[in-house]
Amino acid sequence: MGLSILPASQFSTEELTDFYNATRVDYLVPMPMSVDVMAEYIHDFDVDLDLSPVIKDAETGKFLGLGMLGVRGDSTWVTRLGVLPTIRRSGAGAAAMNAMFDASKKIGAKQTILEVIKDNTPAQTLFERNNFKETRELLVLRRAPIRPPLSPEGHITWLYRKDALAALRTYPHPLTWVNAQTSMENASMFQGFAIELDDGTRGWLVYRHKKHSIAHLVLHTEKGNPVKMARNILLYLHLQYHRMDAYAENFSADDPHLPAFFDLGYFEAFRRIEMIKKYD
Amino acid sequence: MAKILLIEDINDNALLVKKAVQAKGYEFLWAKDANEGIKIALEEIPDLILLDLGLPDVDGETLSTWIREEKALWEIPIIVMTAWPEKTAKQTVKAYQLDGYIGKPFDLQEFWQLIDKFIQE
Repeated sequence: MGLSILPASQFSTEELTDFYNATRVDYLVPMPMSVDVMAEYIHDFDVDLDLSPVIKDAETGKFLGLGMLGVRGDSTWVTRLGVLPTIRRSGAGAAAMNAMFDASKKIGAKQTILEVIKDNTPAQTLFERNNFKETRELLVLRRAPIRPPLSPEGHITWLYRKDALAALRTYPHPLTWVNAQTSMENASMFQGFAIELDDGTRGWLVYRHKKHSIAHLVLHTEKGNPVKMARNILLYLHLQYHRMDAYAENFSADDPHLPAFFDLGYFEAFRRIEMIKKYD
Repeated sequence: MAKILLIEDINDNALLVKKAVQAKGYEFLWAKDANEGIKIALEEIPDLILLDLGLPDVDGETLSTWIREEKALWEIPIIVMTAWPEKTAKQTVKAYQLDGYIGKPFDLQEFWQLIDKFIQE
């Protein structure tokens, strides 16, 4: 089958949404998107549609697969990569991936990042064959909207957008693409809290207040016990938003705050593996 | 006649459930996303909701919280249909106070064992 590779910028958001959803129908975690969700995703995560490939059958013009490439500085991010279930192993996925590697090299990227669902062994093997190396395991957590039974200790200060961005700038660990400073700068409704407890423990939590959920949580303990800091600041968060669902993604599996999340009713929905490919 | 509302974005999955539900003589209602789902639920007040967790506008977990916020829908059993591993499905059901789950692809006998419990009540 001859393949044609077209830039995603030639298609409307509606078409890209349909293409993407069609590639995911048989996934364990399909994560379908509406047009609005897709548009927000492209905007917030700096997806460059000129560099993102749509793969079609060269003869029939039928859609076969796509990939999206986020671009920030000297890093690129592979996302939404998928091929129609009926034509897998036909080379369409490899064509999309190679187009994104070529585009990354062409713009002078030093590395390409991606995340793959843990236990999706075929995908992970394919990425390893393309010189991606596993860097860390990431947890995706959920919490149903329940009013916490306790009140937090300590003194809370609201961090409005500017202050929340300033706090995030001090985060000492590498952030994943979706939680990175630039993602939050692109996003609307980004804010947070700082907390100081009587024993001197202090830290902060920043998050996105989305229409239907609290998401993209990042927290950091500046001093003292991380579990104690996280428990109190999360109590405050969920008292403020006791009717909202929470979705906390990409916590490193060794994040010291995790026990506080589980104490507050979060559960692990699934895990991702972050992988990075370096260019010479 | 009992009404069953399926909220599911994938046509093929919906057709399988439709066939099963109609063969049993129940009325089948179908919404393709969360916004349509809550609208139909409020208009039709179904006897049971079958909820896919992966929806395009908001996910099924969040939709379940909207449904539980609506007084008219408080009592309606919500059964999740998901391909998640059993542990995750059980945690989701517990955390969101749902009424059960059916694994995908579903086994017809298990499907009715669970659904009948709620419809007959």
